[in-house]
Amino acid sequence: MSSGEIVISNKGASKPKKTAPIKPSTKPPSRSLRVYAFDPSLDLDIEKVTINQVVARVRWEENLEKGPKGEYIEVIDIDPASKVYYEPVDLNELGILAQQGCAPSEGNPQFHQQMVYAVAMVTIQNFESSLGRKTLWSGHYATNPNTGKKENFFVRQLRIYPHAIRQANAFYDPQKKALLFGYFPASKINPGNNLPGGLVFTCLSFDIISHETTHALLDGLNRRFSENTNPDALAFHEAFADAVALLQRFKFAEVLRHEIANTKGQLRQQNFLAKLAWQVGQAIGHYGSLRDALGKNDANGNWQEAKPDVRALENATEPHERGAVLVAAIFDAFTTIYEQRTKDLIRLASGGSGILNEGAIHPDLVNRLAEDAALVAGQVLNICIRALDYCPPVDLTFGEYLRAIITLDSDMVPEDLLGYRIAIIEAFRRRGIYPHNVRALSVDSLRWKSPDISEEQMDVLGKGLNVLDQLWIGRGQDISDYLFTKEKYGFYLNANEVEQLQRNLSAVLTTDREYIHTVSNIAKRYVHFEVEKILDDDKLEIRKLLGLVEGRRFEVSQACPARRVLLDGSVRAEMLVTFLQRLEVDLKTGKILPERTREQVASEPLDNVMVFRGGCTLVIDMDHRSIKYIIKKRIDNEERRNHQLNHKKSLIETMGLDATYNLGGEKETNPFAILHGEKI
Amino acid sequence: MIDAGVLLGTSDGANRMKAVMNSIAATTGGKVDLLVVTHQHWDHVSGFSYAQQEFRKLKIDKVWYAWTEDPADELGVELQRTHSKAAFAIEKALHLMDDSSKLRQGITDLMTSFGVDGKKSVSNSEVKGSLDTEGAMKLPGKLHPVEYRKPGETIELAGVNFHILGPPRDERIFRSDPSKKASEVYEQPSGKVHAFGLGRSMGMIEAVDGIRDEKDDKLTRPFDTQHCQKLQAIHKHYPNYSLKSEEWRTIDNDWEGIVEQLALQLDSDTNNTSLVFAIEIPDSQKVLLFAADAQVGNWLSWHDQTWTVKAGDKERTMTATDLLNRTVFYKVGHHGSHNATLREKGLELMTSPNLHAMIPVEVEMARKKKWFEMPLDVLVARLKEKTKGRVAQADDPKTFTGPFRASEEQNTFVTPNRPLYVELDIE
Repeated sequence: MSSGEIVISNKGASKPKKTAPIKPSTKPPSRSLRVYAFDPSLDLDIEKVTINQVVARVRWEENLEKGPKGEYIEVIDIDPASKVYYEPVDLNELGILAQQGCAPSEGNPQFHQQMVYAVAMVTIQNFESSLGRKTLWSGHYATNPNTGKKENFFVRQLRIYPHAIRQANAFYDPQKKALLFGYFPASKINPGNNLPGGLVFTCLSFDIISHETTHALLDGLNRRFSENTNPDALAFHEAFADAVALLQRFKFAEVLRHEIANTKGQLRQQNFLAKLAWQVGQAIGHYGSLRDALGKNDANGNWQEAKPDVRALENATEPHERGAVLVAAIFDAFTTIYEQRTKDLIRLASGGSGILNEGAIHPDLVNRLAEDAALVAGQVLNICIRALDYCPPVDLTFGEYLRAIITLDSDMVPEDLLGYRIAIIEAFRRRGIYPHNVRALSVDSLRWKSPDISEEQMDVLGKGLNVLDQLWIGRGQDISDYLFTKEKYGFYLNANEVEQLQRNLSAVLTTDREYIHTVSNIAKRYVHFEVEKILDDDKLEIRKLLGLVEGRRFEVSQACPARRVLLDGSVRAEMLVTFLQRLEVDLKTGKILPERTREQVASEPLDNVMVFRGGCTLVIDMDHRSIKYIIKKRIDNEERRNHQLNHKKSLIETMGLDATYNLGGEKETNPFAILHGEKI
Repeated sequence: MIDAGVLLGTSDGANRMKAVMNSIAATTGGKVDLLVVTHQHWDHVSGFSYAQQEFRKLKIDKVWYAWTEDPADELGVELQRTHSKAAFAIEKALHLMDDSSKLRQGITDLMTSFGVDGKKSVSNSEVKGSLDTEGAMKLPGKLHPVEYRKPGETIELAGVNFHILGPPRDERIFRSDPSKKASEVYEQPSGKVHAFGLGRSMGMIEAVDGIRDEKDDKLTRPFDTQHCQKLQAIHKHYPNYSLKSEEWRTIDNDWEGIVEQLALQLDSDTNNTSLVFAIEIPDSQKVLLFAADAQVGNWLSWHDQTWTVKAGDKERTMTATDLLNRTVFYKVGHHGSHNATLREKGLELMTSPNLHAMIPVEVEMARKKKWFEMPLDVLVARLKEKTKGRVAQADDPKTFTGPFRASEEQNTFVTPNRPLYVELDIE
């Protein structure tokens, strides 16, 4: 960021007072912060009050500033609708530090700031530990004032605005790279246990914060996931965010123990662990939580278990509704695995009958069941998150997500002794979620196939991808080769990029996120340069291998390493490289339009045109120097193109209806804001 | 006579209305038995204002309004008060919006139906919101005897029976959108449906009303004053927020979304107060259905009541299904929009082989207002099937064929050679 543009001096501003530096030997591993496990409304429930306030353990950030503002998150508490702002919390203040953060309270904005920070950080930590790498927010595309060119700028912090709007809504804004939380008066007619007309804060809901942070993380991982190319696309975003929110709460042992004691370990019964956004749901007159992975309230307010339905997806078109089917499947898989794992405990406790006696179960049993539930929830969360790396780069469907889960899990845990994969496949099958192009719903047929690639092809492609090795793994020993290389590569690195690479020569800062962002951008360009050469003289039909067509530009949209830690502790190094092409298709005629230049595409948006993308993600095994999978969505797949065309047409027809609701008439709208209209 | 008006912004709207009013006076000899004013939207009442002089010359025996307009009806008054409050809150909020705001123009357009204008100054206590439209709406009632109609009533007048169908007197009056599966209306299969109906209970009006209220005497601010810092000083604590280079991340105008939502809500709520009635010709028992701009909830409520006609000693009681079965003329609801013609409990019940339909819509104007699906293609297609092609669309003279006869009088204001009206004989 250039610093010459500061408009207002920040002299005397909120620089944290430097306390005595912490010695390495006493540096705390985490910061304890109090949060609501659900939301403030459960504080009024005598049953739940003891478990509603929990302590989240957030990675210790040495340089955490007031806000809080750290490496990943910047909380800014401005409330434009009230024409005021609220002072930022200083989590390093001794008084606050000494008592695990501010006490949970609806009336103290500093606690609100602390809670959004803590829950967002917990979510980020879960992503990082599952993916085995640092997470980045999606980059900011803007014109570089120095070069006049569009660039993908690094965004260090996601902004969180805890009181952004006066609305029963909260959303991730992909343009602003920000989470906007709303507050609103509870229903005067059916407020549940809220004060009628009293204010409800979406930023105090554990679930809503997790959900929105997950949207942002997912967008950072692959911004094509939010393109509405098929009925599953946006639904996946929603479902995934819900699943993360649900499974994350299992990390709080006290909550888990309480619900397990209540249900006697039967997690298929109605329980709070499967409910999302309790207070907001009540406050808008739902009589219950906003969503529930196990069932829902009928018209009389009685809870009914939802039976799995293989045809569930046929009627569900609205993204949240469709996503709910996937969430139910994931929760079902979790429950089945948990039941399998705890069968023996139940037998022991029931004298072999498997049927527990009336009354409460023994606290020791509660503890053991809770341990297992937490373990399984963590594993399922891990499985769900890491599978993102093995998803196709565009146009994701639920079925393909299942294939990604099964493939990666089979790779990482070759022997499925406890039947995890079977449980997952079964839970998905019961809800009609499966890919359409596999022979059977077995682990073997669901796994992505090893690519059919000849030695010559591997040889040529391998040479083209060597640059990745040097940039990422070799820690730039030969980096000088890449500097000032106009003759060889036809472009220069800019000053910032050179500086970043040189910093890397010292190999100290390999975990710096800006470095990762920059090297990733450089890597994409080099790979593009090398592969373009290969494709220029494509005797070996590499283009076909990559799902691309001739005569069109391609882009390298991802070129980054992924590290996987296996059960036995060994580490596997992989590289993910994504090639994509785009076609512009006339919406009315379905004809493919001639290719336009990059500049035209950027500056002249076309009406009545659909963008169709295709290509592949290569999963490269860096230890064996081989291409493990080519996860493809061919650009020349006409059937897929027609599907997308029909999907877009039906969307536009209904968007016509939306137009009555969309008064601004903006071209660029935020898919999540519309989606979340009163649905969060 | 039912309603009189054009949308704000219709070219030469006032002159058109004058021509229409003159034509009515000429045809009727200046005497009208009954005028029905269905609901308070500019496109339904502006004629009384644009062509006030001409209108004042008409002698009208009776003016009907829906019960929602009745000052003696508690529920009606409550509803009116809520609508005024909402309109007032929206108008206030419009004044707080920047001129650069994209939403502002859209909301202003929408609110012109209520006569709210972002430019007008707001006096603080007086509810000024809906003066213009309200004035136009009330004018006929000031000049002539008024009656307020409730659903379930049957009134014999000029040799025919008027059965009053809506608006409902329960919470269905707030329901404008189809339920999730959208099977009630002619919706596209993948229809995404908004459920703004919750808005009222969520205190949207209160939320909008308190926006940027400096005094905050209504406690709309989320925190006690001790926590509140003046916005101008934000750089003191959040220097990044004011950085020029970070301007793309600011949220200064995001609060406007709720105002838009409330405006939309108010608009569809008002549509739902539409006075809907069926005219039954006693001998042939044929029915003419005038649905005004009634939306889903209004339609659904018709099926909960019956109408009784005395014929000599005998009484004949009929249901909404009976009436729909016998309908030979249908004035298509809300200009053919997606949520104003029910499917199973509506058009599919209109089984008469003699069905005719008329869509009062001007597509060009609808497009200008960004109502792209007005009329809705699938609905028009189904209407054509059910009527064997007897669908007249107001802006399309090509459809004035068969039983529909175009008038010789011309509408000279917009499109030359467009007939001023269409005639249809029903025996």
